[in-house]
Amino acid sequence: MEMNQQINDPPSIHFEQYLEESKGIIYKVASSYCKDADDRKDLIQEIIIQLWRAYRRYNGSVKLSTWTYRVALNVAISYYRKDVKRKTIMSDLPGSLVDIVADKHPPDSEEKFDQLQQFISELKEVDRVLTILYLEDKSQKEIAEIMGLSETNVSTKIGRIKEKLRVKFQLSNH
Amino acid sequence: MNEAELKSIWQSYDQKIDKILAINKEQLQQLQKVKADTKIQSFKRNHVRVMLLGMLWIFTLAFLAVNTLDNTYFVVSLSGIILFNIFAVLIYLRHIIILGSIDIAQSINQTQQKLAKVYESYTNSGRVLLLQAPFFCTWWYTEELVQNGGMVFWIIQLIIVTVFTFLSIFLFIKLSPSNPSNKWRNWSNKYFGAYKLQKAMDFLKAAEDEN
Repeated sequence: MEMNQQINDPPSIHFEQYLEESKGIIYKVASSYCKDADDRKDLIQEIIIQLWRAYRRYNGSVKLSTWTYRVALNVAISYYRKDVKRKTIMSDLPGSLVDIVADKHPPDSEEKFDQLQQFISELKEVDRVLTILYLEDKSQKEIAEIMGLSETNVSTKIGRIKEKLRVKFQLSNH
Repeated sequence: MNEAELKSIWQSYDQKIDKILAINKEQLQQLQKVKADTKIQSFKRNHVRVMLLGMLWIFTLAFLAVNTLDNTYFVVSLSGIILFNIFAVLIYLRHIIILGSIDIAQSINQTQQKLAKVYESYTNSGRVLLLQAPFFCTWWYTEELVQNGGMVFWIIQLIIVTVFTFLSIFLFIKLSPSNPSNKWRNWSNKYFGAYKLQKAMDFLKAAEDEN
């Protein structure tokens, strides 16, 4: 099933398959919030757990990708605290839910991606969320839906963020 | 770097994620078999626990007050403490209801608004409970003591009660989440867990700011 499925089409796929299709969203959200590899892995696991808990309640009122962004970003913003030792389901599992394999020789494009993520992590919380969604090529309507903001507000903020990122890249190249 | 380049860098990474992130299928199946706990649930459970302890505390105090009706000072002091604790129990009940209404798949703004409401109320209930401090200075007074205490004794008592009254009011004002003093806010954040409230409030403020 496509992540961009039509509204009012509840999930008919198995959670495992859905998760495979949502890996990109989960990883990118987690990477924008946690620089440290262990924290990132923790956050990814937490997002997966929350997705699994909420998945059966998904009713198709919004696109599945919109729904996934909402859960992932809500977890990253409100539910995840790296300074708190969390008692989660993980303590009941014998091993790790996710494995992150790092490349030994990252290509140039990855350096740019890391730089972009660094700039994103320096933004305010709201701007960080907006940037992730903007870079994912989400429409302003969909961003407004995920965030719970007006489209005008989203448009104004994205304009400002683009300018901030442009300046940051410009400064880093000098 | 232009808009298209930025998006291209971001989206080019999608192909790599498949190789970088591996989801352990065996663990995932385990996850689906066991009961998952969440931070919000544990926060809610703690609230239920504290609320039940609060009710027990109120019943104990009420029992003591009812059985010591002949000592006005004791009854009045305990009644004051009971009222503050009833307030706290009701506030905790409100938190439990709000926490129960949070759906993680709601929009980010909605979730932040609910969390801000709970954390603001949580911080405020702590501040209000500080105001009961003076009653803890008077519960042990008796009619005999009031009549035979002597000037020095009452001056000392007056100083103690005044100090506690001012201190509790001072902390009530200073620990307000809206207090512009960073020093007090930081202290409050550190010891009263208002960090989460501040974070949610900052998020909402930034989200509403269109200029």
